[in-house]
Amino acid sequence: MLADDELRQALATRLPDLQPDVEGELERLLARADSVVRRRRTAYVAGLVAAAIVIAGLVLGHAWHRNADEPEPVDDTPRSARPLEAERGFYADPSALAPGRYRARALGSVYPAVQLDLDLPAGWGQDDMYAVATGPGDDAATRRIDAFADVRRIEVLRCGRARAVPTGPGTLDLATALASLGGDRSSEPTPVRLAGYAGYRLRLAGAGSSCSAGIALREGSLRGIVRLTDAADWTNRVWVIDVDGVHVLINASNGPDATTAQKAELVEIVESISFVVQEAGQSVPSTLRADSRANAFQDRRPRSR
Amino acid sequence: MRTADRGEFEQVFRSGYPSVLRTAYLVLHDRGRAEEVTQDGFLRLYQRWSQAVSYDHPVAWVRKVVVRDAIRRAERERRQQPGLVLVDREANDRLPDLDLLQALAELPSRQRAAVVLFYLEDRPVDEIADLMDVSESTVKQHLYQGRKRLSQVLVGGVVGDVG
Repeated sequence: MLADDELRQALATRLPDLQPDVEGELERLLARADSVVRRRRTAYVAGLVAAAIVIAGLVLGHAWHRNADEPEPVDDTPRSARPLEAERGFYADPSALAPGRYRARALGSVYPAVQLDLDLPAGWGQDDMYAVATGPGDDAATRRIDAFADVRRIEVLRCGRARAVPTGPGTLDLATALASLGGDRSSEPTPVRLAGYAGYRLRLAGAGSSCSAGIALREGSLRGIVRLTDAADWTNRVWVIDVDGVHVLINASNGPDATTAQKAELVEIVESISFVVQEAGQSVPSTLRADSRANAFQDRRPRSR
Repeated sequence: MRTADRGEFEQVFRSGYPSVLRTAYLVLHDRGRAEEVTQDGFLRLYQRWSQAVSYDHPVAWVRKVVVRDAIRRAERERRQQPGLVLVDREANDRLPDLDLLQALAELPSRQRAAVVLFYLEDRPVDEIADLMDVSESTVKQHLYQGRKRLSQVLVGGVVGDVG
């Protein structure tokens, strides 16, 4: 058996040197810390305002002359996410949203309808292509998040031609098939949990092409296709999650000019997601219908940058 | 946080991040998750910096937080996916010994953490015991078993237990 020093030397010389981007990681950490402080301040101020409103309501609405027969009021209003508005913006000009928690629908299967509640900070909006976005479609600093339910097929688009890519039935199969399509900066799927559901996470980098190119997802019960990756230098962070048997794919993408802090914010938004599954037989609320992305199933290929 | 405090924190981050990341990576064997765990550890340090600035070794505090978190995650993932070993391709730029990396990955997570902390990070046994919340004799046992297994890979062949 090796002596301590021999083993120490072997481990030091034969194991990988990670060469981390220390400055980049420091920038990311400081951005996260600032974001946490901002959120806490906002929550604190919101709490103060809410308390003031409640106290004012109690003072103004209190029946100073006691009526013994009157029942005590019960406040059972739950904290709920706001549905995305019916008036969406456009791909080239997203409609701005106030910061808050919103509910969006994962495009795809009708039932069970999967909805996502997520926290949006300032600077986000919605358009007729994606659930939420920060800017025009072709702006290099734009970030977007979208979700698809019941994805079962993948097609690679190259110069207007589509080629089907085989996938298996599981979330890992889907994640692995997607991982095989990205460029050099792509990563393998790694296990992850999102809102208590298991799945896989991977990063896909746009492979780039001399003509328009992308990866399309074919939904299980719809024939439309949705572009997943964009032009070269675009990055997609993809979560493939099994939500009660429905494969939900969440794509958080950013253009090449997005800063480290903006990328960190993108991931934080995804990590704020909770899922709402609507079973068959339940009516789809009008607010949910309003969330349908009119142009989402068009094959909008990225323009060359 | 005051500018001066922030500057001090940045200095600690720059000096400690690479080694803490390496420890987390060797416990988790996945660069992405190792970066996450290490980021979380330093974020906690940042958030309590007004107290932590008086610590003798702020990096040691972060290492404790990160290693405990990494062990928890590694144990959870091992239960979920037995036998699955992820080797990060990006991390292999220096052509590491993949057999050694694999052998390290196959050690139980606590044994692996003890080996990494003792042989790579040069932490003394008592500190490792405190950091992992186990006794010193348990750490020594982990180190013995780990050294035995890794020696088999490095030397080759079956190694007898010579006591």
